[in-house]
Amino acid sequence: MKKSFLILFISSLSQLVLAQIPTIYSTTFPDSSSISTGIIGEYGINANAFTSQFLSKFYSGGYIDSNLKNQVLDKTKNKNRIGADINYGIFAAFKLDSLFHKKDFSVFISLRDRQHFDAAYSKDFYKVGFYGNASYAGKTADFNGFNLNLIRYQQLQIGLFSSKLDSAARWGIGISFLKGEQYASIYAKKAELFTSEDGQYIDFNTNIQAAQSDTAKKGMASFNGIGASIDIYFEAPFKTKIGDSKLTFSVADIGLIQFNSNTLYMNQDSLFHYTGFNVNSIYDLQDSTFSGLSQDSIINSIAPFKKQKVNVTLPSTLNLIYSTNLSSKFTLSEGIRYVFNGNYNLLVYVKANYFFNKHFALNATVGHGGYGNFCYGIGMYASIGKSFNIYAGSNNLEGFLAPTKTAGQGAYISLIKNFN
Amino acid sequence: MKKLILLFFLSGILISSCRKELENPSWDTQLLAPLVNATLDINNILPDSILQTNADSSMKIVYYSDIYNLSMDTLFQIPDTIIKNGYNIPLSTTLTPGQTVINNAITETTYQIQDAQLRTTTIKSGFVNYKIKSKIHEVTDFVYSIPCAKKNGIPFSINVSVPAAVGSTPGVYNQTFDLSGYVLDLTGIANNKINTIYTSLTASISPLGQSVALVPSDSLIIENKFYDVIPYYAKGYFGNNTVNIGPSTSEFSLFSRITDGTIQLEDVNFSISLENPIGLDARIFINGISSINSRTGNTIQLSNSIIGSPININRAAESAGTIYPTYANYPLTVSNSNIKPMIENLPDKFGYSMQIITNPLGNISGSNDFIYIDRLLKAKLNMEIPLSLVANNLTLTDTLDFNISSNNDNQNIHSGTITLFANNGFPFDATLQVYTLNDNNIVTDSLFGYTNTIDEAPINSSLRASGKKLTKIAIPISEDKMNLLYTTKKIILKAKFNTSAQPQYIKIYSDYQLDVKLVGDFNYTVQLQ
Repeated sequence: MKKSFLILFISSLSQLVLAQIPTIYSTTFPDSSSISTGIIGEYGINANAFTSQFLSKFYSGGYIDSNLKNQVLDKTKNKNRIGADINYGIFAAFKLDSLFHKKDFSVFISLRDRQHFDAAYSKDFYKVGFYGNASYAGKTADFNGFNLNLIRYQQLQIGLFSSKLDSAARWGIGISFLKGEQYASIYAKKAELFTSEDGQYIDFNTNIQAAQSDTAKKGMASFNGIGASIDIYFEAPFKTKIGDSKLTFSVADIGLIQFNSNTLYMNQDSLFHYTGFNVNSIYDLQDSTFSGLSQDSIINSIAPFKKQKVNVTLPSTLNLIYSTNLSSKFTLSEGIRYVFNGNYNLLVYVKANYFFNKHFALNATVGHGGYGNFCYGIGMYASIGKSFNIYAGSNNLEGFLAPTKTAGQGAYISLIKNFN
Repeated sequence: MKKLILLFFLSGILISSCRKELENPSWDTQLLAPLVNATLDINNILPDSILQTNADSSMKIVYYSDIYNLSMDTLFQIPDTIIKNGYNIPLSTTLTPGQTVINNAITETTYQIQDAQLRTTTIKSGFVNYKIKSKIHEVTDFVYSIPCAKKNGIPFSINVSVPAAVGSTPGVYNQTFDLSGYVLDLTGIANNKINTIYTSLTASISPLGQSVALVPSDSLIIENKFYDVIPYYAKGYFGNNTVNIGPSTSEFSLFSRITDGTIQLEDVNFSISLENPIGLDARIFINGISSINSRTGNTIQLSNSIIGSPININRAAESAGTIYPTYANYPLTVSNSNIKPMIENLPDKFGYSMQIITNPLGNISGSNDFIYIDRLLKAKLNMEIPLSLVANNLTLTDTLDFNISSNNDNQNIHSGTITLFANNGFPFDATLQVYTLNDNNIVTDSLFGYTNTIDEAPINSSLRASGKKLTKIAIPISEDKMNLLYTTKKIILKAKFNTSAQPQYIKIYSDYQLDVKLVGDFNYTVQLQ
């Protein structure tokens, strides 16, 4: 039983940090073991306006036609959000005989590759970006509050947790060393684009901060930043009239990464009045008409970047779950999830677990919030033999089933091998 | 434990390898943006190097053009020269190592320089090739020098070893030396000659060799070839010669962009100037100067008293390396010549025919004529043209390099409209056209599908522009035309001008400006990289 508890915690803790897969999605119970190793992998993407079909096209490439753009435009509101995560890694946990003369403690170590993206944007931003500014002749396009964050880092985590399986409260803590690989962010406190009626000038009134990690060093081997984070987990079981209940609280990724002094940084509060590329002679017209419109020259003329160190606060995930065993085979959980620093809306969900036997269980989840709107998913747990466990499922099936209406897609899998 | 470590690494490799490169997404947008803006004054239309502002802020063109430069070649040339000497052994003898074969043999050579008697020259570039054939069956050491050729005060001298002859095959030495920078004294050994150099030769059996028997058939043949000698400076007497120049033409680029129409100028101030930085007296006859318009085929001959009359120009002076040229200037005005119609002919060439007589009074300098290769007698046309004119369909045409595809590799602009906003402060209107050219410079299309005109600025009673006039011209760019622009490498820009208030002369002032702005309204495909 103690080994079961251990595996439970590992699977929970390993998924604490995941964008769309909070702990409540892995409440199945593997067999007990003294050493456990495993592979975890997941991805998730969701948005309130973009559709799965649109995002799939955007990601896989190709031409995005008007129908696809209009499909998204119909759903786009004044304030919109999108987020995505891709994470995978390996872990191992070891049960200790004793720690400071106390039993029922285990340690774990994990190595993960973490990628997170989120953005908040206005309807005008989408329209200008995907339809152009011509329809805004004589009008102001409102980009205020635009925010985009992209971070990729590698995480080496070690932790300690109590693995006593009884009615007592349990806890766990994980401390991580982080290697920053890539970072990009834009935050436009103010960003307004005015296109004059006849196109003779464009005004860009902006108060914007942007950063990008060393562009010369890309790939997983790049060591562009260093940081640390901490995960905290607490679980308190108690009894109610309905049945045995449990309150679980966890916070993951409380920390930051300092990207090095080769990071490009820009903080600009100005009104940029663009009247075209300036030429000094009619004979300079030959190719300056378009050459002056290079992306770099425009960006540099609007807001020149400088190089400096940049501290990045990680998107941190809060989970709060209330679970009740309604019968020996059926557990119902209600929970909330929130991602700080991630343009995330509060996710509220309900999850039902049904245990067919000790080797197989199914679960189903229904929720609302996060980066999307209404979401639903299913998952499974299977124990194969005495020492091999599989957790697999999706918290967002809606993007697969209704790709023209919703964006939510995701999947997770954990393969765990236990050693006695 | 080994299984555990293996599982760790295998897992990581498997997961990180599940990646692939994906195609970039793209979508169409409609962009409205200013492309180019320019505020052009007359300095932006004509090169400011030829423009000057009068006291009343009106403008004038100040321009000069070389008609003729007298080259040094016209006066003299130093020909390639070969000095060949053979030395025979008079009697059979045996020479020991270090023993002299030829002792300081001096050879004097006179260059065949036509029409000039040079006493000294500094060599800008040139070479001497030194070739020795020796039938002596031992290594022979040579000291070859040109005592009259000095560089930084040191005579030209080389020490060489010629290999021993083998059987009947002579030992051969062949080497070329650079004479750049050497000063040649051309007065010979006794300093009483002209165009003459001398060389010195000493030969001896190598001290490292062995005694060698010489017979009369043994010989030394020494060949010096001076070639490609170009003087930087020369001094002497350059002769009393008559040089006929032309008829020939000289390019005149001031009006090279004008391809049609007429211009009437209120005034023209012209002069022919001569500059003589050569230490040489000259008498010049200008037999004719003509304004040639190759486009129209019209040629106008200059009518002025200078034509056919002798122009005597004195020699320049030289002191401590500084040259003091002499000058002569002959004004050509509206009243003393037909220079105004010559300029209104919009020439692209000037024709000329001249005769120059050097040293017409003989060698009065005591053979102290001098010349530097970079300071030559010049005949120039100097002109001042006040920009007070009447332009009637005056058409400027220029062929320009054009390349928009290099900055739009994906050719993302498909079609649209370019709108030209022209706020004209000049008192003339302008009609524009742009032609695209293919690789064979054949016109393939035009940008404007209709006649357009940038209106002239309003003028007041003093015929001065009193404001600006805005003209808006839309240029539709179809998809076919856009594709053509992507492949076009050259365009022709043509602008036709007509001044206001014709037939009155309109002055161009320095504060006149034309504000130009191009605005694009494009169907643009965004392609993320």
